[in-house]
Amino acid sequence: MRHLIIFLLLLTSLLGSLAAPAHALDDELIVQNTLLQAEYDLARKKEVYLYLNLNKKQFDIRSSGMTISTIPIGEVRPWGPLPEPGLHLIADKDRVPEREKIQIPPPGGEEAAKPAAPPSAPTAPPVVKKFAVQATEVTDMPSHYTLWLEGGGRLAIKSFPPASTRKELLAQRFARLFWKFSHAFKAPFQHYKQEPFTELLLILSTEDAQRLYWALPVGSALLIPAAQP
Amino acid sequence: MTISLHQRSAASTRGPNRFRREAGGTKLPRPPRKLSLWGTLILVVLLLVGWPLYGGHLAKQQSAPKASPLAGKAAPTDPDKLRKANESLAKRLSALAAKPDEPYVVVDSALNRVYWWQGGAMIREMIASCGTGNILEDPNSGRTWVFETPRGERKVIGKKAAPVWMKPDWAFIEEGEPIPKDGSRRAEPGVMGDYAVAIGDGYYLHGTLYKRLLGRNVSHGCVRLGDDDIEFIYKTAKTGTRVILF
Repeated sequence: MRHLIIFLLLLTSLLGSLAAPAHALDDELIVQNTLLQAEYDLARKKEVYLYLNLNKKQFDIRSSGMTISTIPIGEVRPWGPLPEPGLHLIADKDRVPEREKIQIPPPGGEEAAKPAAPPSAPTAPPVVKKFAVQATEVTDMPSHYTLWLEGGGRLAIKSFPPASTRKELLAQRFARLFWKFSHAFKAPFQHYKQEPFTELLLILSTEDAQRLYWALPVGSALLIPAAQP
Repeated sequence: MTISLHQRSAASTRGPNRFRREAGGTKLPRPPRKLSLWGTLILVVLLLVGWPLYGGHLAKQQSAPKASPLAGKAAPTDPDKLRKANESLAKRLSALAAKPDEPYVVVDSALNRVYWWQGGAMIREMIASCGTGNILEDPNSGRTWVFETPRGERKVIGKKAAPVWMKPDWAFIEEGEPIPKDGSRRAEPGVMGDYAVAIGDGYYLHGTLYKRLLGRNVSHGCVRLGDDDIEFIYKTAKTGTRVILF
């Protein structure tokens, strides 16, 4: 009788261990299907979208299923669970730089202000206007900012210069500890207020953080797979 | 045997603050100051450790941010059908991508660069000038323009040698000039360089007179290129060549 019980227990555990990967496989297939469907829809609409490739620690800028550029990520720190795998839209972002508004000269004002000049030939190149370099460029983009996802949660982007001295390294370690502590400290208050407080902190170089801000305008699509950082 | 408070306090008069005699002897003795200090310290430490630990626990309990619902058919539940559906989706997606020998143009408006891709490799990098992102408002009509380079995938829809720029309304408004009713007054030859490649909605990849500004965001949304680069694109790109802008 005892042998029979042991045999049955072994058989059950064996069957259980076989059943578990099958479940995992199904989940993987469902996630794959969600991502493929989302990407196919974006590709059909001829949109440029971003793919958060956590395994390779980079953002892939994609179009029609092709990766046309990449933005490397230095470090990934999740606070709370990762966003659900699938399509996420950027609902809002902070620190939007103000756009330059072109000042229209009064009619005939430009000509009136100029001293009498010889008439120029019709093919002469026009004078470069002052407004030509008043532009919102990638260097005007912030390197520390937050992107809010439509389904809740947020992506916090920060950039630190690579630590070259021991002091800088210590400062960065302290900043990491402080980030964790401050989030943990705020969490009960946010829970009480019923605010979502999941966050994915991504640390990029200053230039890459600015490029990412440029590449992800409000309303743009971001595909997030199910990989763990 | 019981010892009265009077007796205890009398026995320990030397110790500081130890069981002070209370008037009437009715109140309980206070705990020693050292003990209360330790108690407060332990409480603070417990709070400092426990509060973040509780916060961390709450963060783990949060539900994951929801993905956007997808339009179209729901995924099949049968694993075999799901596998087949995924294969079919992957095939359809790769059919939308460029064929291995198909060339395409990539415009990075942040870095002001244009890349020519062919055979799975980037074969030419060009310095460009993309849109400023500036805003122009017409005080009379209330119309607004944002001078941004568009994003997304487009196609070459036409090519012109020695192009003539037909100035749109905004070009006159920006200069404070009246919008002409005569179409011939809109024509401005030479400003688009030697070649222009149309990508739709009035946007072009074209040459420029302002070569020293290449690499900066100075255009009204078009992609300006140097003479050699625009000539290369004009001669190599065909109608239908993809142009991906981001």
